[in-house]
Amino acid sequence: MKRRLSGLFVLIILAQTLGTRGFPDSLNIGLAEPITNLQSWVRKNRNDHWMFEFILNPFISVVNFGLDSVESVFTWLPWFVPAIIVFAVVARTRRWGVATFAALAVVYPGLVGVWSESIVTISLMAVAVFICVLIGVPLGVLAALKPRVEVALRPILDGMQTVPATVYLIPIVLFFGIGPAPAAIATVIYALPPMVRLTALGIQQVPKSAVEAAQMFGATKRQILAKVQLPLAVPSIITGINQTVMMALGIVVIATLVGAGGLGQEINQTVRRLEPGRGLVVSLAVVAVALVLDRVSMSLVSTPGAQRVRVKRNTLYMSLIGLALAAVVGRLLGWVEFPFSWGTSFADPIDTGFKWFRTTFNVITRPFNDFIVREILVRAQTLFNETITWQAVVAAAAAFAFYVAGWKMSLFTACGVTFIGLTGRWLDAVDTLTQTIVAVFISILIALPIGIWLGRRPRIEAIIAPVLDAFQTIPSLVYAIPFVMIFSVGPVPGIVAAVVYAIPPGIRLTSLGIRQVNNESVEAAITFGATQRQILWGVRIKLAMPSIILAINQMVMMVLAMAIISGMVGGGGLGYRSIEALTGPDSGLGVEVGLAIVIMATILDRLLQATARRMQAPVAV
Amino acid sequence: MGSGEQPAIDLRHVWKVFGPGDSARTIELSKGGSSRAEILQQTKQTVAVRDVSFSVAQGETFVVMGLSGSGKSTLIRCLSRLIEPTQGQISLSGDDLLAMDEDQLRQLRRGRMSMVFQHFGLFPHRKVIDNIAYGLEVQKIDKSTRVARATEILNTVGLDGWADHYPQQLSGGMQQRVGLARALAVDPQILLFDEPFSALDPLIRKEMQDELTRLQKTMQRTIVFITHDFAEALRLGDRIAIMKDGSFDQIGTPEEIVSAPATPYVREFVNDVPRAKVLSVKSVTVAGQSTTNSRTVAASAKIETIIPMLLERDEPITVLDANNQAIGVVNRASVANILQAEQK
Ligand SMILES: Nc1ncnc2c1ncn2[C@@H]1O[C@H](COP(=O)(O)OP(=O)(O)OP(=O)(O)O)[C@@H](O)[C@H]1O
Ligand SMILES: [Mg+2]
Repeated sequence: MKRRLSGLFVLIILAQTLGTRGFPDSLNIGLAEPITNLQSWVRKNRNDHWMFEFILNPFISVVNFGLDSVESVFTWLPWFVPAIIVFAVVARTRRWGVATFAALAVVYPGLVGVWSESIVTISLMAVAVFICVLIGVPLGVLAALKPRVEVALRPILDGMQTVPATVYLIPIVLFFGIGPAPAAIATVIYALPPMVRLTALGIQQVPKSAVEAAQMFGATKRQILAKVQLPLAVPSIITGINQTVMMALGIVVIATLVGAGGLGQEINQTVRRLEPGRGLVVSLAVVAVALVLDRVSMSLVSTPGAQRVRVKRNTLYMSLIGLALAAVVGRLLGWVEFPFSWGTSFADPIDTGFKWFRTTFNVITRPFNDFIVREILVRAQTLFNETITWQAVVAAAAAFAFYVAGWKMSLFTACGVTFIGLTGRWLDAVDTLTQTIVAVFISILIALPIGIWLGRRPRIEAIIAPVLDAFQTIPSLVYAIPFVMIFSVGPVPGIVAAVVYAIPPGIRLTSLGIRQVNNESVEAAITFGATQRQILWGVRIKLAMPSIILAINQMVMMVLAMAIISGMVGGGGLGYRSIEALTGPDSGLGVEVGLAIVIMATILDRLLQATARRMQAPVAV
Repeated sequence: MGSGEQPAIDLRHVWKVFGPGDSARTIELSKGGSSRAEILQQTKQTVAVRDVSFSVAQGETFVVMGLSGSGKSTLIRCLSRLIEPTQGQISLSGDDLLAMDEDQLRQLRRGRMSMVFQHFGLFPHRKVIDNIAYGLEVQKIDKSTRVARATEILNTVGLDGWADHYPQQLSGGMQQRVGLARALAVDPQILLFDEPFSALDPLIRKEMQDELTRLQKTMQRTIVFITHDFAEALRLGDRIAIMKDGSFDQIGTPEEIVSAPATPYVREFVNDVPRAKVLSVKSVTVAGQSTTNSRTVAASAKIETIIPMLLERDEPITVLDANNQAIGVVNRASVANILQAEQK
């Protein structure tokens, strides 16, 4: 091993002395060209080719019809009807506080004056999630029952989650055009994986003994599926729906790039107009929608035998009729829109606050901004573009991969890194990579100490955990808004937003790792007279190391996911290119960027996972 | 369906080899005397069941006893065709089990054979009553009939009043009663038990064993019962097979096994057994002698029943066979001899 490593080291030196600085344009393999040709073909034939005329366009019409129907129902309903329904559904689990809270969350968008935007977003969610269930559940069942389907699906599902949303929006715009329906389709693609995964998981987790018992009673495969496997998978399937909803809400902002409208568009505009207050208020509406859908779907999962409010059938009919009457009366009296809006009264003080913050702390933020840009980002870029040869970068990456994961991973890494260069996106990739490294580095400095500290204070963590989890439902663009205000447009707000975005899961995973350290090992250390310090560094952190590496890995993935948002606020790099490709639309560029990001994410992910595995104590075979 | 004189279950040279590859070669290796561990090393295959043959008569309780990993579950799963045996023949009242297609197998399971599982295998999403009625539901029997039948069985196993609970609201012992009731509800001729009581506390286990004995007295099913508890095997089995590393070391009645263990392995279990509880008076009878006093005992009674009598008065007791004919006597010396053997 040592000999080989030193061999690789020599290789790096050699590559550095003999190689070329930067990545030469002459090596571009011209990936974009055929795709650009396809794009012009599609443009020309969009109106008369049979594929559009008889398949894609009718499909769009169906989706549009669904969107319109849901939207008109919600628009027709007086505002208090959904609130009552949500309250009733959640209250069946006897958790009155939660039910009240959920009902208030329904009212919130009206309260801040984005009721109609919320309806647009909710309709899009409803249709997208419905399609997800329609496709995802059968696929999940197939994947669970047929190993071959699973093997085929897994890489696709993994890929769907790493490809930045802007990238696969491109083919959607290309084939479906722009508007709410393409946005819904994009949302389906983005939000489908958890539906499939959790359905498959639910079916696979059905106790084998239950399936065998059913077999032993002579049940047919179909009977087993319908009466045993599916019912037992329901909680998992509902969790899948729940996750799908969360994912779908996660791209409301990005979906506006293809014409989704609704809350996403509002948020997008507040960024442009630099109104963090309004941005926050509207974002909270997205959070409210997420919260309502989450509570409602979770209240539908029943643990067998759980206490529920029992409603007699007659009472149920009576209340439904009552509700319908209330709706009609509300309609007649014109109580449709929420009667007043407090939106500006929340938003304005926040805006003023940020303005004050900006001018007051300019002495700190300005130098910070300049330091990061000039001393780190620019330097790193010159280093990669003018000092280190690309061959040396490839060799170094391959050497690290070899060290943590063996020669196969090493080969994959070398090919992947080279390929990014061959697509012609070397510079952008370097840009994104340096920003990612800076953001991850800062995140580590903040998240790990807090996580380690929290890991031994379960009580405090129990209080903080829900707050941290709530952070993850906020659309990622929202994180960027205040920082754009503070730092003005450029890479820094993107980096800081990415840090804020990545920290919560980093803290959670680290503290989880610390908490899961075997108590007996700690006690053993104590009986040997180890000091607190020795226990922390020698036992707790050591044993939690695999989890900590996974926490870092998670943060890397979150930061990368922010690359696009970062591009939206002036961060440059691959994120910016992906938006450029989408608004062009320039499909060729889109494919290049997409491949570059996916390759980068895959390599980083695999390498970090391998590092975590290396640190795991060897298991007896 | 086969005639009455055919055994209810008959296994001939059944093998089960796990793992991918050439199982025929593995079987040859095993026949050639290679141990399980050697074969696993060489071929990456596990010989879970190794050349097992036995038959079970109608109404008999056959217990397979073996330690963890000895292949008991695999054997009973071959017998229910939850897994396919690698080699061998299995017939049920003369019908070839392994030749059945999926449809025939389903029919068999719907009426003739059912199984009770170690970890109960209940359906957590169904109420107790619906769990019990499951077998009938699969057969598309109408709802009122199956609820009536399930309620009846529910009462038989002593769970009156629990119909509308969910399995996880019940204690382990009660859950296994549900498992038992579910198996009985389809009125099967053959009942398979895979360590049904292993997950239960000793006291509950004893209670369930008594329950099963009580039920079996009236229902007279053919039972194959798996256990790793030798005492349980002795208590329940008409005949017992001792399984080790996939094959049977010995088959016999509890008395045969306790009085004449065939291998050192079997002896190890036997050593811990209080013989007076297993052996019958017949095994300590001194034939040909007679006595004048009036004390008598049945030859089939367990030795423990005569110990108080012998302690009371040191005089021989007359042993009577099933027809009340004297066949000899027992005395303190003959009983002491057999109990002495236990100490070694
Ligand atoms: N599906 C399988 N694939 C490979 N090997 C298996 C499989 N099932 C069982 N085995 C192996 O076959 C052997 C016998 O297992 P089996 O479950 O029949 O034992 P058992 O006597 O029932 O044990 P226990 O008392 O633990 O239930 C074991 O070595 C086990 O590892
Ligand atoms: Mg077993």
